[in-house]
Amino acid sequence: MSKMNDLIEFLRLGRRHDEAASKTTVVNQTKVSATAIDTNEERIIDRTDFNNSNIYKRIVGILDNFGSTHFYVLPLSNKRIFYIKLPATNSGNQYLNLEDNKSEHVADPSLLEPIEINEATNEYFYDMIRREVLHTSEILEETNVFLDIVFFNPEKINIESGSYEYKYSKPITPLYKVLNMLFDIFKYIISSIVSSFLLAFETNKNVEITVRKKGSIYLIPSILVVDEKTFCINYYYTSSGKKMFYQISDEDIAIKLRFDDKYAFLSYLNATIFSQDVFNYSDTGNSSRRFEFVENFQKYIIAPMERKILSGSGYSGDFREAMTTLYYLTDSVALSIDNNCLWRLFEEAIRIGNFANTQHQASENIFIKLLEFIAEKETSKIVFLNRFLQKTEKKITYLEFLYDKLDGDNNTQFVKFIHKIWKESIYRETDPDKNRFITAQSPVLLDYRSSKKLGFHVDNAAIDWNSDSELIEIAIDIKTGTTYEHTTYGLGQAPNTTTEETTVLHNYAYHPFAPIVILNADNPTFILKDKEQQGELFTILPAFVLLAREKKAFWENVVTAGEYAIDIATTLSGVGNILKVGRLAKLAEAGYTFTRTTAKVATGVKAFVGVVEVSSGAGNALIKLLDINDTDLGREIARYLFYLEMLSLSGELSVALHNGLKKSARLLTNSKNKVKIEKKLDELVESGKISSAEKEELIENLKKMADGGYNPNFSIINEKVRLYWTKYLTKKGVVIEIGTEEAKRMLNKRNADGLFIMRGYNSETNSFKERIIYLHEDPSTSAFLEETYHALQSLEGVQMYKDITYKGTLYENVDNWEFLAKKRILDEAQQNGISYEEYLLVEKQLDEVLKNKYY
Amino acid sequence: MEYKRKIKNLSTKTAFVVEVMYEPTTAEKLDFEFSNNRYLLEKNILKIIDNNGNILHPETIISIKPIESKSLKVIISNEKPFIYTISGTLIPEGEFVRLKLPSVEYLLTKGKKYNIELKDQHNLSNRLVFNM
Repeated sequence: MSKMNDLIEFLRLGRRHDEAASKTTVVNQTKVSATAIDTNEERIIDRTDFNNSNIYKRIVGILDNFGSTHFYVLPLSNKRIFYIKLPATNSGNQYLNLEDNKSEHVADPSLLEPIEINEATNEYFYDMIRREVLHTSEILEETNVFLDIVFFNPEKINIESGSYEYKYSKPITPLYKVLNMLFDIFKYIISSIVSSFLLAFETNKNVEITVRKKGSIYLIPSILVVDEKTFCINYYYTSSGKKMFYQISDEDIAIKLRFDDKYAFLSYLNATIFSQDVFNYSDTGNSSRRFEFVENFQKYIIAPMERKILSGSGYSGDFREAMTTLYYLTDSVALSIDNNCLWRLFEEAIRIGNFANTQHQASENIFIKLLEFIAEKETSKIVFLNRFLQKTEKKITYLEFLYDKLDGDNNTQFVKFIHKIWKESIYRETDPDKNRFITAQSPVLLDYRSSKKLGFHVDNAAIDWNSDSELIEIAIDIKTGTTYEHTTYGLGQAPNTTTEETTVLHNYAYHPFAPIVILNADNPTFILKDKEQQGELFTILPAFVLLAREKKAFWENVVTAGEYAIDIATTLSGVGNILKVGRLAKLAEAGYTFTRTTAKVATGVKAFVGVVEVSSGAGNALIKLLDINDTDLGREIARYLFYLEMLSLSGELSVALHNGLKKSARLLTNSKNKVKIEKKLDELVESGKISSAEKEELIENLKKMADGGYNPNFSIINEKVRLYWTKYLTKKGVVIEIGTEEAKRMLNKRNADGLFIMRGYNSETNSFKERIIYLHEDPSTSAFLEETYHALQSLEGVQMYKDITYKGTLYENVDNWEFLAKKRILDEAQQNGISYEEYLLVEKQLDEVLKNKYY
Repeated sequence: MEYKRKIKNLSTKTAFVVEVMYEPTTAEKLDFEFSNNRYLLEKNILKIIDNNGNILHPETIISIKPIESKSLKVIISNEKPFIYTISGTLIPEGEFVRLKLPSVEYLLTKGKKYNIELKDQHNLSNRLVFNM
């Protein structure tokens, strides 16, 4: 332990109480054994009597206060008087009589018999009946009362005047603590190498200590703020207590500490006084020194801060300083701050809107602390909660704003905190007659069900914040009680029929603080569990907490599933809102361009494949596009942004993510979407939401990223070829569905890139009534042509199966349509612009068709 | 042919289920490769024959271009045959019942009897009788 820490421990107001308490053991014996210190005779005392401090008087406070090293016994004919020596004064040999606590002058000290105090001072007590000092090895159960006085001997705690470094805890997060530590190590290494650096880094000594001779001192110091860089703490000798204020000089100060940093000064006071159980900031009792100390702290620290904030100077330095000061105040001290001042800090924090924890300041953590102080002081919980329904300059409620701004653990803490306050408010009223927020559109009983399966959080609802209506929208699937049979078929497996219950979708809209009751049994793994309601059958929570559960579950699922979650995630409602406040949005807002390198690991060596770069302009434009009024396109934009969000969260980009990103970009830049996006971007430029430079940056970004095709290595059907065949086949009665909902359904059901269906066979005409092609949006050249050729084969009546001789080999019972279509694709590959990778795949498929293995 | 097919009817009123079992004919063990991504087995080899011995023409034919090819290689023996299940649904449609398989659909007449077999140029399975 450093000398500074030793000094703090010595001066800590509650130290002696803690030491006494730590020695306290529970004893069951009915008798207490003690020894008279002058005769060494044993005394057996009844425990009931022993606990009576009027008979067996505790003297530990006196011994400690005066730093006594000996008892002094004056043997008289009829009695023995026990003294301790008082500090030297002008009046000569002064001793304190332990029987009545009065000081007496002993004319001839040589008559006194000294007895050394060898044991802990709290093991001695005075027997008022026998009039003697006793020692017991059993600890006194009585709570010891210590005066705010201690005997100070600088040699005993090995401290001398000089400059010291006081390391105190700063408001930074653990991550940044590690970073700062690494920086310190770096500084140390550099300074070891370059001696000239040494001086530069020896400036950490932030406290100047001056100590004088030993003596009894007051543990409550006086404080003085000289200027913004000079904060003094003075410990006075008790002898100064008898002096008039004008008589007091530096000679009366036993210990003087001068800090050059306000936060070190505050930390010191926290460690020695404010954090101590024996100190009550709001009730200093009869102690004039404590009263004066609190008064001075208010005068030098609290009042100037209140003045600066309430005067509304708008100077951001004042705000930052006040927020940092808050971090260093204990709860009891912070509660002395004017509530208007705390609210003003709250408003200012929202106005500035920068909550990110940085290397220098854990702003989020401090803000949460501020909220706790306000809640503690604000007697009306409704007033407190309603403040969160006010709107920011951007016309969103403080609640939504803070919910989006606060990240990670602080977000969870914020939600739990609001839930806690909400439970104490009338918002939690579940009687529809008494709570106007319970309506048909926001029923209090909600059949919400959530659980965790295979590491994923699942539930039966889609929950989203509607920023326009300021309501929380809940679309919930509720079981009806009727069942149906569902059969799944698998390769090589018997069909699996399960019975499932029919569900009905209900749409509700809740005020953020409207009460919802959910059954605990239906939500065994509810993420934001309220511990207080865990033993109950149900949990009462505000709609806001259900929304928060959704967001937290979402990100936990993303972490569990990684890149595979993207497809699932982008189909969920609310993903747009999450992306709008995600990491990418924050980077873009702060004007950062982020880059990620794609690497694939081959035989232990990283091969770099490419770089993804997103400028802040492109990021901003993308986020604005999220509001696009087109479900499919909006989802694709969300998907693209989701990939970028994943990239911004991960240090390095995997090849799979890179490919996914390319595929998504390709979709956004296809002929149909390109026109829509450019139109929307023009509107955003016109309305001033983005600049034309940002628009160009996004178009450029998408174009760059899209280079590579729908399937990263596949070509997309040439527009002219597509138009030609579409016209021709349509004229022949073939229906072509590309990218439609029905096409998606049919293709997904068969895990196919393309389908050609002939339906309604007529044996008389030997023909089919309908011919339909199904393809995904922006099909590859090979997929489009293959289905086109099948349609042509059907129209021309080409034989479906036959024996084929190809390259000199006979293949029996071959799917002739497949063979001919693929062969033609390969033959015409060059003129149709098929990529090399696509060619190889079709060639492989042709081989499979010839050597069919389906028996 | 190195293997033989045996088929078994496991169908219910609404589900068409035919289990196809492949066993070696001569050797004790046989390397067997199977892939049916385009459901050509259902489309090309499965034959539904009416009472008059006519092979039924599908009412619907679906050409499938699968996203990826999957195949399976196993060693089969009489003790460990390879089993593939042809699965579909049977949906009433007026006087008919529609048999829906992944790549073909047939219209079967209610109350009529059909025979089912797997047949290509070299191999013929046992025949199943199917009462609609």
